[in-house]
Amino acid sequence: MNALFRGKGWSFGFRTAIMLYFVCLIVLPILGIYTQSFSLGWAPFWESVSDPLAWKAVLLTVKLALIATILNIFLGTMIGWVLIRYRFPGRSLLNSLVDLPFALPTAVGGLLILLLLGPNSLVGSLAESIGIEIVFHEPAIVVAMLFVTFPFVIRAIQPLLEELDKSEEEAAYTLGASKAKTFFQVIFPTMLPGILSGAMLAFSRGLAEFGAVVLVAGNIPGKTLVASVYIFGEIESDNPQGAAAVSVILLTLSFLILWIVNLLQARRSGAK
Amino acid sequence: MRRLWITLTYLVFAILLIAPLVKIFTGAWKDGIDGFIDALTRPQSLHALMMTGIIVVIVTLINTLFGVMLALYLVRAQWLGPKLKRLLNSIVDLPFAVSPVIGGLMIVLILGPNTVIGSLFEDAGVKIVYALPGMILATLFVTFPIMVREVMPVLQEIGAQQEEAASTLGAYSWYTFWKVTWPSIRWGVIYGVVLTVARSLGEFGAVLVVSGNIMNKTQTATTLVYQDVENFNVVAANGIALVLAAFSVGLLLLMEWAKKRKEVH
Amino acid sequence: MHIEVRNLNKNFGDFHAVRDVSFDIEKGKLIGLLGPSGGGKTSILRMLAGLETPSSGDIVFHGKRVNDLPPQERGIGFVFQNYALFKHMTVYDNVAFGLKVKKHTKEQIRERVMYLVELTGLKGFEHRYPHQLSGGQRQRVAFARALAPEPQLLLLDEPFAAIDAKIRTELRTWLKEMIERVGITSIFVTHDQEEAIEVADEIMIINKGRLEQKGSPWDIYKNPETPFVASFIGESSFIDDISSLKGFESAAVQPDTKALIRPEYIEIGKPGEIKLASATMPAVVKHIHFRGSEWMVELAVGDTKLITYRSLEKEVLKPGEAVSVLLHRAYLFNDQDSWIMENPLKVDPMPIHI
Repeated sequence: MNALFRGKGWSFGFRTAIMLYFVCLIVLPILGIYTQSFSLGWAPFWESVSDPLAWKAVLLTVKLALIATILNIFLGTMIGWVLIRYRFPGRSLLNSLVDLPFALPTAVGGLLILLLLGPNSLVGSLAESIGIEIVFHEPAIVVAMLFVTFPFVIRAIQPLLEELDKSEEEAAYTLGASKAKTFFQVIFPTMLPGILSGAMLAFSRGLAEFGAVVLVAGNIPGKTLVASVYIFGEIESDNPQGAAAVSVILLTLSFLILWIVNLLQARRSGAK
Repeated sequence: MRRLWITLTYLVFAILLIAPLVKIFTGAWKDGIDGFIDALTRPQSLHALMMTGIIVVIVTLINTLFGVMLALYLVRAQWLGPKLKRLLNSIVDLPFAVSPVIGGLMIVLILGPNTVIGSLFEDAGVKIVYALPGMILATLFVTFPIMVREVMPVLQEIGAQQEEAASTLGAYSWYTFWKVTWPSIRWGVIYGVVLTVARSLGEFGAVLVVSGNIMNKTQTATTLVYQDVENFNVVAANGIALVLAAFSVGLLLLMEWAKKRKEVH
Repeated sequence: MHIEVRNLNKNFGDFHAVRDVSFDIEKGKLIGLLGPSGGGKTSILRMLAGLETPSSGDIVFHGKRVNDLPPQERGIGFVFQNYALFKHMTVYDNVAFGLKVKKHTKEQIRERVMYLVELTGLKGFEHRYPHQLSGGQRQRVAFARALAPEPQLLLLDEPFAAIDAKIRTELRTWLKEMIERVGITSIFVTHDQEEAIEVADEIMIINKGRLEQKGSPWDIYKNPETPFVASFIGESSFIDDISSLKGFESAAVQPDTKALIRPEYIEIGKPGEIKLASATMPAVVKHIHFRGSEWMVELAVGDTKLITYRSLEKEVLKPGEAVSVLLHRAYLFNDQDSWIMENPLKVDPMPIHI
């Protein structure tokens, strides 16, 4: 009954090809990694995961990604708000720049952070003189994650703010609400779903980030070794089963987040 | 209040985005123009840039074709039940949630030289992992959702009625697609292409794992940057990074342009 | 084109959208599919067009079963509710689309398009895009586009729904004239009874997927076959207890018989105004509403409420006033049957006694 796919016999072949491509490229590999990690049974899986270096790496990743996400929520909400609500010189330029981290290779992003904050740089030496080390320590990882996930929250709340009917706000004023009250009672609830789904995406991206982090983290096992780099190390040292085990944990976490984001979005479009 | 927020915004942009961009442009010239040119004209640089170019072209072509087709099926096809459609729809997003390193690992696990399929291909004389096909596969995996996600909302928005109208006027699938559907989704597809190019240009983790990063063989521009940094050859890394960054900024401009056209429609 | 539909059914999952619909349409007729929204009218239309596949049943055009024919090969024109104009094409290209598909020569296309553009009063607008046109103009383009490939059957889905009330009437007349001029068998879907009555040669009333009645507008109004048709077409008062009204005491012999009474079945007058005084009953005026060309009067006969009209020429009634009411007939129905009953007192040999 569809106008596009009606008619010729070869459409069947077409369908099959597309679906096969889809399954082979996306579904098989993901199933593959789950089977691989349990290929030798539970015991080796548990052994790989309970390796202190492994679970420390996972914990560290979660912790740092969480910090980056929280920073992102504040910065992103502020910037999203400013870019939509205020008119000022350079606004559209800044608005275009938001996507830069998406366009820039992550390895280049890592290199930039290394150059800017490294021990030989202005900021790096300044921080060092007051006893803070950035590069090859946790702060650098957070900065790398922040850089890479920067656009998520902003891009998630901008459409919501654009959609927000000015008259809703005006209605609040005519009902005697103060500016602050209007913001928290009318505007903020509108932005909240965007903030949440943007933050979730940023968090999951932070967990997964490799390129930017591997260059700045120093990768000291147990200290600044994040999960994705740990997995990379395991692959390099020819232990695919161990890599797969940690991958499964990271993957499951990411899928959970993705699922929650989908739920949030479904509820939002359902409420409309 | 307003002034404060704007100033803060500028500050964040300056620190987080503009400063690094400036740094890379100045950094590359640290050893003068010769240093920059030397870094770029090393044989491994040229080879790496070529590899990146090949991957970008092939991946973009395949991803565009299959992405648009899959989006059409997911939105329009009636032979997929609504439940199956929903399931497929959520699977499309999975690569976004998968760390690129893990994406690479998956391909190694399935097609690596020690696996059944991998050795089968090896016997046939085709190397997949640690060779170009594997790198293309890895990049395809990573970029897969982009096109589908750009095209699907446009298709949903325009609805099926124009296509139905075309069919009652006697037009069959191909004609309808090119004359009726394509003009409406064109800008969405172009936006998706730009995003795919950006992503495949910059893909690092997955490619690093799959390629083995063998100089002059499977090294791409991003993995070369990584290697240069590991070898403390920062100026050389900077040179390549500058080329990549210049491309990215160009793509960013394209993105803005495509986005505007998309909205006009 | 002669159209025959036999036992048509359509299910969407658990939802039975069209139930066992059968009908015949003669060549050249203009048919209105009328019914409440969501009643299955559009599904029937889309199945005729081939845009939807019937779950069971046959669709026959000119004696040939077309169920398995795709829309491309059915020789139909379809006007969509929101017109579905190709928004990136000019008026000219929209109208020419179906001709280009059929690989007509440039000359033929040009001639046909210009003829239709002129016919639909769109001359001078050929190079505009749909978003530069008004709603009425878009509708004309959709009409011209559907007619361009010279279809045998024209299907229109709520053709006037998206148009302002003011030009809607004007466009209706235009469409009716146009279809008569072209002489094409046409079916249109609408939920607006006024529209159906005004435009269609024949109306089919569709409710909950069933064909309730098919006939000329006058026929359907006069002789509704089902309670739904009686209540859907025209205004009427719904009476639970018909035996309380004079002349209809015997109507409720079968249990659960209810009645619908149209305004024109009721005659009212000040005491003495109605000649058949013996057939009247007393009533009280509850409200009166000015309706532009007449008064609408709400009456109470005991506990029963009735609605009727009164000419502006007659003396104006006031709320609370006592009047006499003569009920000429009533539409009666129960679970098994429905029928129209004339007031027996009207033909009583009363005049002889006077």
